[in-house]
Amino acid sequence: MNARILNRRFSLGLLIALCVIAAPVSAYVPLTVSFSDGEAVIAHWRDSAFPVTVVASEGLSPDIGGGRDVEALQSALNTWSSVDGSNARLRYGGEGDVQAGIIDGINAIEFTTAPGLDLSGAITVSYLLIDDDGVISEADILVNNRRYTFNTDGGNVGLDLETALLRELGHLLGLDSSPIGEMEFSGGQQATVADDSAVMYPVPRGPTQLARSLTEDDKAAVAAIYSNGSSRGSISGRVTTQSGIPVFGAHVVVFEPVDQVLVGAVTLPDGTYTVGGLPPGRYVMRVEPLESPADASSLGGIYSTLSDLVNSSFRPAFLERYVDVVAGSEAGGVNLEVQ
Amino acid sequence: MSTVSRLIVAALVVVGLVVVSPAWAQEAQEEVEEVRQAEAQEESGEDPTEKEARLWAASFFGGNMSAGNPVGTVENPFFNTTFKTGSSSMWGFRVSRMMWWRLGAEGEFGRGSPGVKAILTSPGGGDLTEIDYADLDMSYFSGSVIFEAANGRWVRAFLNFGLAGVFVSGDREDSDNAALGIIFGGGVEVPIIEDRFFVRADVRGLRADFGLLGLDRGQLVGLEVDSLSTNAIWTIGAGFRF
Repeated sequence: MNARILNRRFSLGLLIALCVIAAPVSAYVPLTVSFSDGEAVIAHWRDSAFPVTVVASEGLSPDIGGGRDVEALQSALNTWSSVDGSNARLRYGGEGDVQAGIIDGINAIEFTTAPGLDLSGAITVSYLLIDDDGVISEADILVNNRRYTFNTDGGNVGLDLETALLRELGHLLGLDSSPIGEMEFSGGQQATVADDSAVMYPVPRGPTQLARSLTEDDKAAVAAIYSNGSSRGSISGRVTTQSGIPVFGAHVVVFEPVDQVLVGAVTLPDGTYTVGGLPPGRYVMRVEPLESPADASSLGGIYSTLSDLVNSSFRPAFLERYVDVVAGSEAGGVNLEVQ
Repeated sequence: MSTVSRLIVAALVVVGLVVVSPAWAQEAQEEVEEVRQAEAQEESGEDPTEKEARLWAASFFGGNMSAGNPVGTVENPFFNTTFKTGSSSMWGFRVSRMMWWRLGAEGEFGRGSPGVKAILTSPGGGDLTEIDYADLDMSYFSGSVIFEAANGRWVRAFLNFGLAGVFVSGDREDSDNAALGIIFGGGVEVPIIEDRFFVRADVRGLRADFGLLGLDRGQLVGLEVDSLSTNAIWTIGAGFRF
């Protein structure tokens, strides 16, 4: 599930006309697209595109029978479609002879077992077709069923299909990876992703690890990009050093303790940030550097293309006041200073 | 009493001091005491048994209330958030009555606006920051048993223990709450005018499950650390006995 830019099967003519990005499967961060002129836009579907119909390759996963793979896909589609405050709607369009990574007007989910395909160990790969305004016109997902096996019962043989698809559908909607989460170390065992980490956390869940529901960070992301009105609010501001220099790539985390809403955002090159899609409430805030495994290299868009400019050498700091988020409005000018 | 009589009494007192008192001298000394008490009564216009009759006391006070313990902590990978009531000035009044032996009853009302503090720390415990998180007004009514631990000429000392009804209200939705708690502590009272007027200093502990911020009566969602909040209270006031 690494987000990467791929141009597999795209013709040169199409690349000239359109900006084609395969989002690597990696605090909620909308997928940003940077162009040669330095401008960054946020990838998104037009409202008129919803519901976005997704067609699966015939037979879906050979590991799973009885239609349980279809059920897992439909469940993941429904999960993203039922976020309060979001217009995003995804719909299952059945099975068909589809391929991921070709521009055909079909949003395909292809389960591939084909040899010779270099996915660099990725479990899934997303391809997004994005124009200069950041509008997504097509998205495909390739599931690496050659290297990985899947299940739907949470067993220890293979990975949970719904968990993998839920995350990849987040990329299909234009979400980048999120630093909201952590790795857990127990005994001498391999580190695993903490259960309460965001679905969009850049490290994939292992066998028996299920992440079939969205965290508040995931919900805030899709509600911010596809807001349907006034049920949520936002916080915005700028992160600078004490000498006033903008901090690029700072992870701003906001937390509402009563309902345990934990959402993050990452600053743009000018130090500005917006944490949108927040349920109303009273939030405390912190800013910290991006850290491995959720560092700049695990993000896509401008964070990977401008990774050399990301500031990761400042001390974490708290905002020394609370911020009230009101539905339908933005709490602006919430600036943080770091050293 | 005439001047002559006073001189006779004084002479009797001197005799009583310098010789071993015979029976007649003892009687004379008792007479002297009676005379002195009578004189004192004449001068002050008070009944000498009136001090014991002042069973009631009322006082007003000002002071401070502040958190004695955090109410709970919410942890996540990015920061730990600990909540407690803050600190503020307060005011109130007390009424007490001695009932039997050294025991009495006391009613007390107090009110302050300590607010709610949020203490933010990094997961490792560093980067401590304390912020004002919410407004919170707190009032309490209490009924206590008081024990008169000392009753000297210059000071009285009390201990008390009782029940308190605690009422909180704040600027957060659902932050109004009420709960029954316990109050305990003690104080000292110093008479300043003929045992009728006094100044008094007290300390109290007030512990109740009154909740904060609509956090389900002090229990933070998903993490119950300590649903009871203790407030430390100190007061200084003045009052009178009657």
